[in-house]
Amino acid sequence: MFAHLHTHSYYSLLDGVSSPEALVRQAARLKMPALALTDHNAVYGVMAFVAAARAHGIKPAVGAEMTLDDGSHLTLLVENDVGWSNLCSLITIAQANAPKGEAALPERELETHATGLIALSGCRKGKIAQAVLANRLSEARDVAVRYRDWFGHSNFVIELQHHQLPQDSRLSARLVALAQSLDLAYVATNNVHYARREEHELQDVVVCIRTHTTLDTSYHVRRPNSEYYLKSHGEMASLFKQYPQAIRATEHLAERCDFTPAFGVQDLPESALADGVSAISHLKTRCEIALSSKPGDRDEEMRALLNHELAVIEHARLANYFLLVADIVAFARSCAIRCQGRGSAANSLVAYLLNISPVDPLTHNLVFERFLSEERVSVPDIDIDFDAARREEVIQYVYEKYGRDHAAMACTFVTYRRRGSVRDVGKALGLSPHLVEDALLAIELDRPLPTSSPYARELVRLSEALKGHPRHLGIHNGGMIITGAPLAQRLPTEPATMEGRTVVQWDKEALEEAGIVKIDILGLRMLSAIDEAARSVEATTGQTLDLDRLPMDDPALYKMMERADTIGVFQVESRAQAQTLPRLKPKTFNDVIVSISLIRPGPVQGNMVHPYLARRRGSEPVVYPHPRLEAALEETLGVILFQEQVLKVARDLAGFTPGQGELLRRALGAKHSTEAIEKLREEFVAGAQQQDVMEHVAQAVFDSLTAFGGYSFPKSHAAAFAVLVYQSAYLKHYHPAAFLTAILNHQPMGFWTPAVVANDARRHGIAVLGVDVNKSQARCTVEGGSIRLGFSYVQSIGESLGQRIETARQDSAFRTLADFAHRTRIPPRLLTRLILVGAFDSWERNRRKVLWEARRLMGENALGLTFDDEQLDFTPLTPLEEFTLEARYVGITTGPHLMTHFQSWMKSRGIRGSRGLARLRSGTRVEVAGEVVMHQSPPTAKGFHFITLEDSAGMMNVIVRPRVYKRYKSVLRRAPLLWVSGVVERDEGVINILCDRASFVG
Amino acid sequence: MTRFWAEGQAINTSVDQDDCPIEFAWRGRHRVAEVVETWVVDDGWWHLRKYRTYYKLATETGLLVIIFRNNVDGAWFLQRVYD
Repeated sequence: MFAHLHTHSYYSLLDGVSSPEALVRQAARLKMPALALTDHNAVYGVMAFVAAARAHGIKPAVGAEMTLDDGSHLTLLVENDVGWSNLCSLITIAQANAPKGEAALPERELETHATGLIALSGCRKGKIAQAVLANRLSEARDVAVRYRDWFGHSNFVIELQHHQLPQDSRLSARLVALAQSLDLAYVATNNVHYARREEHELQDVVVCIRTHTTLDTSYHVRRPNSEYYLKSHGEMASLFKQYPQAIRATEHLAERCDFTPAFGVQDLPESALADGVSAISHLKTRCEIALSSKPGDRDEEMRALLNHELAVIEHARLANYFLLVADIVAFARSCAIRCQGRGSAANSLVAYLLNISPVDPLTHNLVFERFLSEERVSVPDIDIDFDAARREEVIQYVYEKYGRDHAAMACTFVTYRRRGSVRDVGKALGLSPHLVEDALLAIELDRPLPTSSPYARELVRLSEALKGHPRHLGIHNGGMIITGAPLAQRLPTEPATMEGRTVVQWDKEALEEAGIVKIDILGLRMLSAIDEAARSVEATTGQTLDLDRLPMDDPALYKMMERADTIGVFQVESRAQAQTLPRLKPKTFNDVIVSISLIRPGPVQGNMVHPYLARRRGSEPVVYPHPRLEAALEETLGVILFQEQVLKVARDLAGFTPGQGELLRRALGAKHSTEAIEKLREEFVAGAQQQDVMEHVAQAVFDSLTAFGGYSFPKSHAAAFAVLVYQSAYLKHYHPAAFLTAILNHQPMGFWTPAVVANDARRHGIAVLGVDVNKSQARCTVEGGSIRLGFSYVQSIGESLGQRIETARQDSAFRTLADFAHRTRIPPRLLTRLILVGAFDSWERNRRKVLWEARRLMGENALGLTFDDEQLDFTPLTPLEEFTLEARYVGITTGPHLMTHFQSWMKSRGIRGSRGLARLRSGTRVEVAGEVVMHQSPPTAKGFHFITLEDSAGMMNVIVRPRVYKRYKSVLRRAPLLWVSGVVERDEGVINILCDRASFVG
Repeated sequence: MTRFWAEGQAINTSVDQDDCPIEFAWRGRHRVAEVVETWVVDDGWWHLRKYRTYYKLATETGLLVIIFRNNVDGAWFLQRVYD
């Protein structure tokens, strides 16, 4: 039976077009016994391929098609573990030896990395085929002899391909003759680039995208026909009917490829310990010391938990892993880099005692088994958030400590979305830019794409087909892989676009699948803001804040959250949170954990939010889908809020093991796992029925799990985040100027724009002062209880020029405009911008006059005046003009709110602002107007739109039904200031206006 | 002189069980003496698909020709007659 041994998936980026899974599915349809994946210079798709092959009962063989430094190709298949290490090394060398996206392997490297690899001589671009085609037969023979000597007689095989091209038959005949003369085996392959013939069109398109050509101009780089698909045994046997041995050899070779990747904690570097001290005993000692320093009356309970955790950690051989993470955290803390663990690691007392997690698991009733248990199928990740501004220091520490050969970042695949695929397919089709723009506009306006012409129809069809395909590689947010042995022996690396960074060729999912331990070194801007705010408080008041030891029971903070006075506060500032908090009325730290877990796509899609709130206030009874689920869902009043509850529900209702539960959780969160989910549904329902649960109940519970998906927090993660909610709420309540200044300095972050943050500051009585050449610094600062905007907020000035201005001012304040221009050497365009936004207002309020002076300084006499201009009179800018300039160039305005300019207009029409809205009853008809500061239409909202309007007194929530949105779409999408008619809806302190009419203001 | 028709001259062709031409008619009947080369082209699908199997043939009448089958509708065409 024939097996394909030369197959490219779409991980041969912009060359192959089928996913590994699609190739496997097609091979299964064709009843193939085995299949190899040989992407160009990469193993990106190997884990997905192996998983799919196993699921379909097909033997997977892994390998790669290497590009040598003369541009020739060579197919390599992995025979065993040593071969995998060698393949990884060869790919690493080839990738490092060429610009990003290319590879060039020096041929001599093959000699020293040949063990455990089976080499096929390659496609038409192979050295041997090229020599044969050019009639250089002795050269072909020399190369074959060389490779035979390097790889071994039985591990070098002549590769035959027949794509119905001119000379293919002759080439095969000559290659067979060569093989016979050297007593080498030969094998048939098809250089597969797509699973089914009809996909050749998409393959032509991706080649054009890769080569920046169009279909009409790319004849020389495209394949001339559609023969590069996964052909059946019959088709291949017919093509090679003269060489039946070439067909038979495929299965035999595939059988020999006996390797699938599997790694684990043993690959981590060993922590440096004193002689004779094991990692687990060192970990025990450290935890004991930490435990003895913890005050409290639960010593016995804690000690029992610690012993239990340590036993599980020892059994899982994870002690070294904990020590490595603790070392990274200790480094950060020694440099005063704020950090804390997140994710399921916060379930661990050991993580808490090692200062990795901020959450005491006993206090918050967290269960260690959710992080690590003896039954758990995969190695857990410990994710740590670091002050985003200083995360690079931590990454560089890891590189320094373990060496660049032992540490790299995980990769991500940047995949095609709709707009990108339309743009690239449009170019490949050679469409005029305006046609492509029309299509993009249609996407933006959520209209169907134009299909009036055949080309437009092709654009729609092919761009749809391209969606989701990987386009290029990116760097994972923070996932680092550290290995004891050189990384290149475990998995390939390649240079990333960012200087000084390398990435491994697997993304997060593949690393998890292979059991490779990853440490997530994440950057969190809120940590930067909290750190800066605390330092600012200390600098301005002398008060040192110990934010890590705040008692979590301050009623003032919970009241602030209940009022939804939370702009800037971590995780609870969004519109949706502002709608939830007044109903939830948080009173404890646990309520904060619930609050941030509720507003997640899982609970929202699973319709968990309203039942939870209703049950909490007692207006709805707590019910469970089945009595068996009471234990799992009791703490959340019968609804699923936390990720771990998926596992518990699966266990209690369907008897799933933790391993099965974990598989279910992952499948629910995966993007394209309909098949896997349906398979699990069958198992779930069958398991539930065995426990005497009615089928319809099991189906309904599984439906709610599916709706819930994987998009939710583990409770431990929410608990770790809740610490930051509390710390940021504390700062906002007690030190609002320092806190909001820090928030402005670490944008982009959070839900609201800097302008909204600044308006919120004003509503809290904090003045926002404009950029001033003698008072501003590069970043925003606290100035006598007010916020002084920094130079970096002025468009195009940025932090470095801002610092230059600060440095120029070090010795003395600027005295005149000429002095400023001279000392800063600022470009005239930016000097003009500073004048326009009022940076010189403290000298001269009339900005036009300053501007005139600047022009004179620059030697300009724009009006061609022939007389002294001392007597010129300049009309000052109007307040609205000043507002417009600040809004355009700073993004934050310092004068009155924009809506105050429309007060008399509003009054004359009986239009309200936000003030007094809270006193209106439900059902009251109102007309309101405000500045649009947020417009959301989340996919979970079924066509509803949510618009937030703002004025100087506060915010107004507007809800637009789909029918109304359709009618007023153009106004609602375009109006910066909106006038809305509607009806007031009140519910437990939450006020919304249900819009029935919308118009522009003014 | 070689004669060439870009879109081919329609011809009647007889084929064997493998769909390989054995005889065609063009200014008389020509039996195929040898199939010198075959190849397949599948291109131009974005405006007019050309999905063709080409045969370079020597005939018993002494001609060296290229004919092709349009794989979409099965029709045969003569494209080139070598001098």
